[in-house]
Amino acid sequence: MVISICRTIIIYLLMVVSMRVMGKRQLGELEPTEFVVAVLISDIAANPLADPGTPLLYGVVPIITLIFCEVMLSFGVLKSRKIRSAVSGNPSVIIENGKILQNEMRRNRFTIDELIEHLRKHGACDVGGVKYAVLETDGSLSVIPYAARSPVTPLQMNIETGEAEIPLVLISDGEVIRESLLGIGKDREWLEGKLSENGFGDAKEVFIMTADCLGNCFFAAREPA
Amino acid sequence: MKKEIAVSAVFALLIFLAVMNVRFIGKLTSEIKSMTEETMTLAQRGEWDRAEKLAREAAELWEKSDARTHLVLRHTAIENADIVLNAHIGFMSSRNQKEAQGSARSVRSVINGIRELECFRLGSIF
Repeated sequence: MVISICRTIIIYLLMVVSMRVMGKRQLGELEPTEFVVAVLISDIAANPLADPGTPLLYGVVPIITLIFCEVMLSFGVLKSRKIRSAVSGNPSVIIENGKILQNEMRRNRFTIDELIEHLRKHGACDVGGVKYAVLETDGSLSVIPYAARSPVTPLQMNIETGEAEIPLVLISDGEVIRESLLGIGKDREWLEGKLSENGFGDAKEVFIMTADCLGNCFFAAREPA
Repeated sequence: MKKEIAVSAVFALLIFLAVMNVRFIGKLTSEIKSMTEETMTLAQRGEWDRAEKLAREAAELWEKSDARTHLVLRHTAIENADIVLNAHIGFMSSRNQKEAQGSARSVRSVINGIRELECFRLGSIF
């Protein structure tokens, strides 16, 4: 067991360092430590499952050790900027004031094709329209367009708008969710009124109904199986 | 913070159990090794009956620990130890000095292998 714990800690640290060295492109949406845990846990768990001759503890001990490492490292990342920088790295500015920083791209092994792909995903087809592009620590690219290319907001147009409220699911597959009804401050009577207004005799006829605090509702009828 | 404390407590318990396990395996393997050495001393003196009895006791001690060893050792390692311990009894019964020496070596080798797996050493880690 002690050997198992030591080996797990060594492999965990080695993999975190490897992920950091490999760079942001490899990570997708996970931080390096999360990625390592996700990769290792699935493999460790499979071993005692597939082989009945291996004690379950051979899977349990490394998993508990990994969770400990992950929680402690996350705690360190939360509390210390130095640890955060060492473990997760720092965001890299790829485009600054419309200029592509080629050295930064080389340092992150970020190709032109990848940059263009990420920009397209953000709806920025023209590189010239991007003021800043930042490669985040999780490998995603944040794109900030020039103000002149940004969509116009109601504030810029001096248009008054009501604030949006979060709609809650009141009926899910014919079942009324009481907690959601209370959450938007309405009662059963109000719900029944809304149902009959929209041509439903009963909640069972509704596939999904959502509503917000202002009473804005959305209905979808249940289709026969 | 609660999560960190809970995880640390579980990990501390795991370390405690791991240390207990190292001590348990260390004690068990030492006992079996010294019993096997003793069987060879007795066999060389020609006290075959006592040697055979001691070899049986070593095998019984290993079997008695089965409930615990199955939790912490690979089942193939446990079965290997079972096989060599029982073979050692067989060679003691047949009163064959050379074969008994060979089987004692096998017991030492298998038991040492199990001990090495659990003992905290740089070689075991890497």
